[in-house]
Amino acid sequence: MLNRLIRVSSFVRKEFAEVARQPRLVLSLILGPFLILLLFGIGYSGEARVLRTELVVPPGSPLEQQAKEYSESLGKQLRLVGVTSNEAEAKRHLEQREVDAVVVVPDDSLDRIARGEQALLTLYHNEIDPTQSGYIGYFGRVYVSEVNRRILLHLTQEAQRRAGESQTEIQEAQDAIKQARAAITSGDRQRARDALERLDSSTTALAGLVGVSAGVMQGVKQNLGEQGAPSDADTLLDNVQKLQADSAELRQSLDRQDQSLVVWDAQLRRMEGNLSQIDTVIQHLRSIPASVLVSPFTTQTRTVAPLQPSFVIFYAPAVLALILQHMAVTISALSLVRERLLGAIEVFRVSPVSPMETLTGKYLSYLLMSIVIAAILTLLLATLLKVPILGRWQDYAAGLVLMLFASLGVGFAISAISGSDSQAVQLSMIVLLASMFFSGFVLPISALVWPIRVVSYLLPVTYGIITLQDVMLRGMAPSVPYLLALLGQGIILFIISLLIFRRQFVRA
Amino acid sequence: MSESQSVIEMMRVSKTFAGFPAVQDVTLSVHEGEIFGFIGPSGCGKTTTVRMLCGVYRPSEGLVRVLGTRPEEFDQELRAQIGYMPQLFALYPTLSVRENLDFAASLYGVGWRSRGRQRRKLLEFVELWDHQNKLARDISGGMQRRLELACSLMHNPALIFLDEPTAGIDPILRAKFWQGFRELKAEGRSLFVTTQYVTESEYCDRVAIMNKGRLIAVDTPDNLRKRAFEGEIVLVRAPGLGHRHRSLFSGVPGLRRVDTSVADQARVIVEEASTAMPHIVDALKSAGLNPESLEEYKPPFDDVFVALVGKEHVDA
Repeated sequence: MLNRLIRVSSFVRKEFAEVARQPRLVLSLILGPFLILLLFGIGYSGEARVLRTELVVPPGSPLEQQAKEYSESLGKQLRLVGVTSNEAEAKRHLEQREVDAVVVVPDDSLDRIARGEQALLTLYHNEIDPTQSGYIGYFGRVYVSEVNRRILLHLTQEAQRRAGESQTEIQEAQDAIKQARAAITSGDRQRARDALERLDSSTTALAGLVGVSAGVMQGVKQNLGEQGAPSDADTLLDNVQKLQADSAELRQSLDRQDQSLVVWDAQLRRMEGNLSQIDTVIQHLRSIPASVLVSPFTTQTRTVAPLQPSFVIFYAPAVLALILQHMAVTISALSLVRERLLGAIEVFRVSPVSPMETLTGKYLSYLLMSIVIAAILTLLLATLLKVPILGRWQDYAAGLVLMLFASLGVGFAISAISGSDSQAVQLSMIVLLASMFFSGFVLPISALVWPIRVVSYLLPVTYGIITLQDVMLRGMAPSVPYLLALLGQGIILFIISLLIFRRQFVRA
Repeated sequence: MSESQSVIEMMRVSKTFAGFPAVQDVTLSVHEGEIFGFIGPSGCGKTTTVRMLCGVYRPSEGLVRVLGTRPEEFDQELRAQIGYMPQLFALYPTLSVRENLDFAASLYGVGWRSRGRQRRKLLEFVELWDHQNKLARDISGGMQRRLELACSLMHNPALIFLDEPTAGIDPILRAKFWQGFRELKAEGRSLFVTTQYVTESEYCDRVAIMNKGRLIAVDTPDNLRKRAFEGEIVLVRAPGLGHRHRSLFSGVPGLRRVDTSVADQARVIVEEASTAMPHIVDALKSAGLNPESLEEYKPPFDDVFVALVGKEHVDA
């Protein structure tokens, strides 16, 4: 047993001594990841890209001036660098990458809108990056929505202004009702009919004036899917209709002489009541700002997470996991290959050391080495970049150690099947590349379809990133299934590496 | 030496790689406490043979026994009795001389306490005591070979396999190596040494000569020399001695043949030089020739090797 311990420990001492003799390697292992994060922190603004945009408008279009005004107020992601009527020239600017986007307003836009059709703004770009291409498409939709909103705002303001003019019409309608009452009382039916016709005329004008405001309110209500009590808009339109209907009915009744004075007076009172309600509703509609009517809803975002990290802090656990996995994979991938190339395996085969002892010794040495490096990196991140660890230290340590154990398994499996240094490095780089794409480091795992997502869950770093983010930034305990997955992965890879290595140990 | 004292036995052993015969039908035994030289040109199958003896390769045919056990059945205790210095550099360049020795000792389970004295003894033996803190990559090729030798001895093995330990080393250092091997032998160890320097056969107790995967001969250096030239050589120098005097030696007992190709001298090949020499003197005097010198001539082993390989070729 003692001999076995001595043989296993021999690898630990050897590997540590070899690494210690390469200070530049140690420095790059520790400082490399830290400097990457530091540079990322200093350099990454997180702001959306500013698009240099050129607008193509029909010659002599008033849009030229409006576009300039709009561009100054639409937000900093749009920088209008020119307005032209020459579409070909604008596209050439785009091809030469002098501008990022060209927006073409069609010649017949006003005609189309007048015909009740949508005018099509075409947004040209010169991106091959799908993300950037998507960003420009999204950008276009957002800005067209904003332009549409502003047009709607303008229309609403106009409607409210016109609603203000309804006071005159209401006054005239009230006067007409009074005149009709006086005429009916005096028995002058012709004068009463004339007064009621003036009332109809005022009511029709009133309907036109309040119609737009009422329509806007009606639209808001419908978009909310609101049921139940009638809104101001409903009341307004109902009252206008009732007023018109009552006026018509009163005229007919006067012609037929089929009612008493008392009934006619009651009808007139009802009409006065409706008119009063219309006035109240119009006053209320006018009191709502047009911007609220056009954009009744706005949003605010609040998080229930314990921390709202900066980009650097958010990416720190993922970078740490990725770098540690890559380091563990690379050093272990080269390990057995180098022994083989050096001729040491031949010496091991003759000596009493077994494949199990060799592999255990190497695992232990690299695991200890990786833990030391991870500890130093953690200290640097916590002290210099102020990356927090909200969770328990033991959870953090458990996640890291298990991820390192599984990563070493990947490296030793690579080492066992590689015939040369370059092959081992190549395979390690493939693991790194796969980790970049499939671990959730850059792209969310949820964006991958299921059979491909299996690749994600074959990579230790996938579990590592989630575990470290949970523990460091959410203060949560790590997911036990994830920890078990890492442990299982590590054990399986150890067994696979041992089987392959043992086969190589056996006599040819 | 009796058969029971053999530390190595090979019975009709062959090894082929993808149909290519690297070693063919080798039978030999190595006795305890002897230096056994395994000699032959590069690529003749020496390393393959050593690897089969150490258990790195499994023989394609035949039986191998080392310390009484087939290599595939070696247990850890038995492995600990074997020292192996491979042909190729198997040191860690970024470890110091001392660390390389310690690693080698650890592989054999040698504890910290017991390895100190052995380390010092070996470092002095290979004359690296003053260089023990240097990195293996920073010492000369000769020093590296000496360090490898020391590494193979750190666990105090009884049977030592040295695969071309003197390859690429200057003659002075080679002589030192062989001096060291003799000291190891004096301590009672058995050494199996391969070399492509045929002249080093002189340092061995017994020598096996390999050529193209076949064992040509196994014997003591003197017996091999005898076999190569069909006897012992007596070199005679006498003024006037020439081709016409060839028949002069016909009465010498055990005479094999006479070579008078060089003027004023003759090489008389006889069964036993000591018996023949007085008769050779008498023969010269009877012809009125005055011998200036008369000695047993031991041709260099290069000649022995060439002669044996030539004979093997003719026999084949």
